[in-house]
This record gives sequence, C-alpha cells and structure tokens, in this order.
Amino acid sequence: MTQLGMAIDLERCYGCRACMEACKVENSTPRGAFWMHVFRFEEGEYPDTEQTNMPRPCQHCSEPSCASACPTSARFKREEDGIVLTDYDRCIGCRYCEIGCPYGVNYAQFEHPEDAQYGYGSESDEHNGDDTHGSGTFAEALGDEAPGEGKPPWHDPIHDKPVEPRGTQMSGPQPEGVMSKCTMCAHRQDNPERGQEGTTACAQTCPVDAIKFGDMEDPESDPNQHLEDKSSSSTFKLLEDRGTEPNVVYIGDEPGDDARTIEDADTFKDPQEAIEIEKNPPESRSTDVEVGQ
Amino acid sequence: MSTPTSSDRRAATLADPGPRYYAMLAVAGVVVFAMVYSFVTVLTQGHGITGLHNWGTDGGVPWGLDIGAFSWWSAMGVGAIALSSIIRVFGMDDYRPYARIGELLTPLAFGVGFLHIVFDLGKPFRVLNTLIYLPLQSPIAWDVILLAGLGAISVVYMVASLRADVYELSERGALPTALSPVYDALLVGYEPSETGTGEDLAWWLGALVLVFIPVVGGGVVPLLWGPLGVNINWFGAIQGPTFLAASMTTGAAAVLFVGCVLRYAYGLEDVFTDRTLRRLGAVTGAFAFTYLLGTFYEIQTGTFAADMADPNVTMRVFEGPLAPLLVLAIAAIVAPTAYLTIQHATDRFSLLGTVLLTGVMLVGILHQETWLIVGGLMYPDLLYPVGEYTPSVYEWLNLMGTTALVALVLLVFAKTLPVVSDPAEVGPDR
Repeated sequence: MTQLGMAIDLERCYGCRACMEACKVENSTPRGAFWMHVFRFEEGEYPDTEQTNMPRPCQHCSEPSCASACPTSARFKREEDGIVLTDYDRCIGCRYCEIGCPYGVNYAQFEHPEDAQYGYGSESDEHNGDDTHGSGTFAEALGDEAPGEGKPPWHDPIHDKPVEPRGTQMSGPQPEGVMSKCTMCAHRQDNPERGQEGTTACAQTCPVDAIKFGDMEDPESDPNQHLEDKSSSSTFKLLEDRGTEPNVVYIGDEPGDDARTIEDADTFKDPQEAIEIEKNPPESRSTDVEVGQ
Repeated sequence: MSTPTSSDRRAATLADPGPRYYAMLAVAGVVVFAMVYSFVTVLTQGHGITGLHNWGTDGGVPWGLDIGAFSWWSAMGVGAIALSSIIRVFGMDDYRPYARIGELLTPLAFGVGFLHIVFDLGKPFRVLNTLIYLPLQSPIAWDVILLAGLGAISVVYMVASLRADVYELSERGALPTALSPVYDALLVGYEPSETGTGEDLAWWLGALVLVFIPVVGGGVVPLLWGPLGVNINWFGAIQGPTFLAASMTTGAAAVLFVGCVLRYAYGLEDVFTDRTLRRLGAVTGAFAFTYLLGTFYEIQTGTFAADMADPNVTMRVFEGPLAPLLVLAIAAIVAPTAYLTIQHATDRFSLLGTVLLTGVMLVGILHQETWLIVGGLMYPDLLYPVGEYTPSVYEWLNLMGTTALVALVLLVFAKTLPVVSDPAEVGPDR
C-alpha cells in the first residue's frame, strides 16, 4: 500500500516561505488561504533564544479526523495513494472538517473565487491585476489571451480535470462555499505526462531541499532515506496524541510550551487587509508611520 | 359571569382578530422578510460578509450565531416535545394545555433550527447531499438522522393530538371555512364514534418520544464517539446529559413563555392558572440548575471545545475576553431560576415577572450556547492567532427572522387550530 507523505527537515528550513508562494502559484489558492504555511517562532529567553521555522502542509493523516467529521463523505482518503482529498462537487460547506482537524489546514471559500483572488479589489485600473498578471487591467487579463477556455489567468486548466476515484473536481481553487486544502499536488501525481509525478510544488521549490516528498511505506523513498540519513536527529509528528496518525514527519525539535510566534500567523493575510494594502500601497502608507526622530 | 364551557375555551383564540393581532402579524412578517433578504444577500455575495472566517492563518471563527441558534432551537424542540410527552403519558391533566403548546412548538423549532443550518452552509442547496451520501461514521450524520426522525415523529404527534379538537371545532363551525381542505386532510380516517382513538395514538407516540429522547438528546453521538475517540476528541461523558438538560430547560421555558402570553392575550386564567404556571416555572428552574451544572463541568473539563483547541482553553476562556460573556450568560440563567424558584416557594405569582424572566432565561441559554461554540473555536492549538468573531447584521437578521417566523406561524395557528387544549377537567381554582 502506498501512503504519500513528507519528511520536513526543520534543521534545514530557514523560513524563506518559498514553499508557501510555490503552493499558491501551483494551486491558484485565493487570498487568505495558505495550504502551505510556515510557522516562524522563537523559544528561550533573551539573549539565549532560538528561532525555528516549521512548514505546515496538510498532514494527510492515516486516520483523518476531517473525513470522520464530514457529513457527505466529500472529504475522503484516497486508498490508492493515501492522499486526503475534497470532492468539490459533493461538499456542502458546513466546515465540520475545519472544526474536526487540529492542524488548521482547511479553508472555506467564503467569497466568489474571482473576488478572492489576488489583483481583485483594487478600484483603480492601474493596480487591477498587477500582482498576478504583471501589468494591464484585470479586464484585459480576463480577455482572449487568458488560458483555460476563458478562465482567469490565475486558473491553471489542469485543475479542471476530473480527479479519480470519483471523476470530480478536487484540486485547485474551489468554488464558492466549498472547502479545500493541500492535495499534495494531486494533479501532479495523476498526470504523469506533465513530468511532475512524485513531486509537489513546495518540495520542488524549497531552496534548501528541506521537504522530502514520497511514499512513507517505501523504505527507499526520499523521505524515508532522508530520515535514515538523519537518524541522529530527533523527529516528531504534529499533535500525534490526537490519534490522527499524520503522515508528515518533522526532523528537529518539537516546539516547546514557550514557543511564541515571531509574527502573527495572520500578518498581512486577512483578505480585506490585503485589499486595503493594495489600494494604499506601501509608498503612500509610509507617511503614516511615525518614526521617532 | 357564566363559566365558559370547554368548547368555548378551545375556541377562545379563534375569535375575530383585533388590530393588535394584525399589527403583530405585520411586524413578524416584516422581520421574516428581512431574514429572506439576509439569506439572499449572503447567498449572492458569499459568507465573506458575515462575521465568520477560517480559523488558523485567517484568525477567524468558522461557526457562530447561526450554529448557536441551531443548538438553541433544536434544544427547544427536544425539550418541548419531551415535556408534552411527559404530561400526556403520565396523565398530568392539569398541564394538558401546556402539552398542546409543546406539540405546536416542536415542529416549528426543528424547522427553523434546520433553516439556520441552511443559512450557515456554504452551498445551501446541496443540503440534501447529507441524506444522499450520509456516511455513518460522521457525528453530524447521526445528528441528522436522529433529529430528522424526532422531527417527523413530532409532526405525527402534533396531528394525532389535534384531531379530536379539530373535529369538535369543525363540527361547531368555529374554524375558518376557507381552510376546510386542510381540516379534511387532518381528519382523514378520523372516527368520532371511537372516542379517544386519537388520544391513544398520541399517548403511544408520546411514549415513543420518551424512549427516543435520551438517545437523541445528545446521547448517541457521545456514546458512539466518546469511547471510540475517532480523533474528533469532542465528546465526553458530560455532553449528552448537558444537552438533555439544556433541552428540557429551553423547552420548558418556551412553553411557559407561550402559556403566559396566551393567558394574557385571551384571558385564559382558568386554563393557564397561577398554580400550574408557578409549578412549571419551578420545574423550569430545576432544569436550568441542572443545565448550569452540566455547562460548568463542560467548561471545567474543556470538552466544550473542538479538537483544534488549545489544551488550556478553559483558563483562556476564564481569563480572556469571553469571561464577561460567561458571567452574563450565567447571570441571565441564574436570576430567572432564582425568581421562578422563590415564586414557587413563597406561593406568589406574577404573570409579568414570569414572562419577563422566562424570556431572559431563553435569551441567556441562546447566549450561552453561542459563546460556548465560539469560545471553543477561538483558541487554537499550535501557533495560530486567537480567533475573532462578531456576529454580522446578517446573522442577527437570521436569528430575528427565525424567531419572527415561529411567532408568525403561532399567530396563524391561533386563528386556525385549537391551540388551547382540553381544559374540560381544569377547574378555575386548580
């Protein structure tokens, strides 16, 4: 049996958050949704403090509490490779999976997908779409040159392909009112012709190769080989006491009770706040900042 | 003044409505319209306009006032039908008018409770997926099965108990003729010669409800998921009894409240007597005391919080911004409990005091249920920020709308159905 998972080396990770960015680009996730998130935290007392970074994808648990909680089986574990997926056609948006999961990886789409995307919300044409399309207006960007049969450019058509075993949409940005989360790039695993099978965007992008993706049941897989190489380091799984049997193994020390975030996890991540910043870019905001001189 | 007959009392509410009735109907109608506006607005603009957000990096709370209101209405339905069944099954004839209120209230409470779920869903029109796919390992699936089952029984129970009175009033010509087809439908197969047939059926259905209630009243879900654990980690031994206590309190308070209003509106002092209202008040207070204890144990053990919660969620709730809400909820339940108990102990009765304090208690329980849900989702484990939640105007409109809808239907019932039940054996002094 195959169980896809990850070994994430916290001794290598330096918190650049390229994995987060890669995930967003790969999966076209909307503002505020971070299928991959990196905790940056500090422990100890000054001056003996230590900073650690901990990437957090979905743990693709062997006993996924989100799937247990789902009232329609929209959230389920794919037997073929152990990925936990969301059937966008079946999900009713009750958010029970979000409540039942202790890891904070679930995102309900509370807005129209277009409204929730980057580049939307700026009132002036000058900024519309800048951060997704480079330049030009949002309307232009949605025009004929947009890839994906008239879909907006942030939408990779690969996500429109039905996902097995149900033949429904389960990857990429979800429709309004529906749940989503990290799919371990199921579209990559299911479309070998793209040449990306056995990879995820986050693992591929990581500049220090801290994320090892593969079959956790295979001793020869990348994550297991890396775990063997670093057998002298301590390892842990997140919230293992919850009985979810996560399939992401961390190499390094587990955050202690006094771990505190260097910045709030939600810094600049609130969609409305992001829209405000977009409308009022940093140059013009700088006058608001009083520097003690 | 001549003593009104049993039939007169049954027909008391059916008299031609006055301007005050139409005014109340209009107000309720406007608020229901506002609820529809809220639903359509959220449907077209998305839940982003509500106070809800994702927990975790979004720093929000994913369930709020709609889920609190759902718990409250569900509890009211369970409690009202349980109270009605107790009265009927154990032959507590003095309280039969209250049983009738419970019978009418239950389907309405379940109905609007369901509406809150629909309002809360990201995809409301997919609600039937729950029935189509229904995975039996899901706790919510069992909530659906059991509450839907109880809802179905409650409708049959209501109809069974109404038939004899509907027949009598129909024969007397007291019912509006425009609704004759409805009454004919209600009376299908009814044989007036078989006196007591409908009553017998209602008795058996009441007995069935009393068997069903301990299972539905928060029983089966913690029973199945508590010991098994299945990584939801939300269910402890205290959940079931506390929900049952909440149900009995909310149901009894709602029946008491409506009884007081009916007595005031139609001068039914000999139906909803001082003595029965006072005793029902004391029973409501006793239930409320049990509910408070259960809630306290839930908070103390942290089992009110979801699986994602910080292990120290209890202390965070006590010390955090929710502490004043907790105190407010307790005060809103304790003060009416004390009033109703003292009223009974001192053998005094005030209709105004009873209806006001019962109203406060109902609001207090709704408040308690809501902050327990929100509080359990505000303080996540791991290194996420504390969630924030303030109900939006749309969520308030939903709540006001469902309350107005129940009031609206009760107002219609008052003019179309025998909402006053079998007072024949109720003496003016009892």
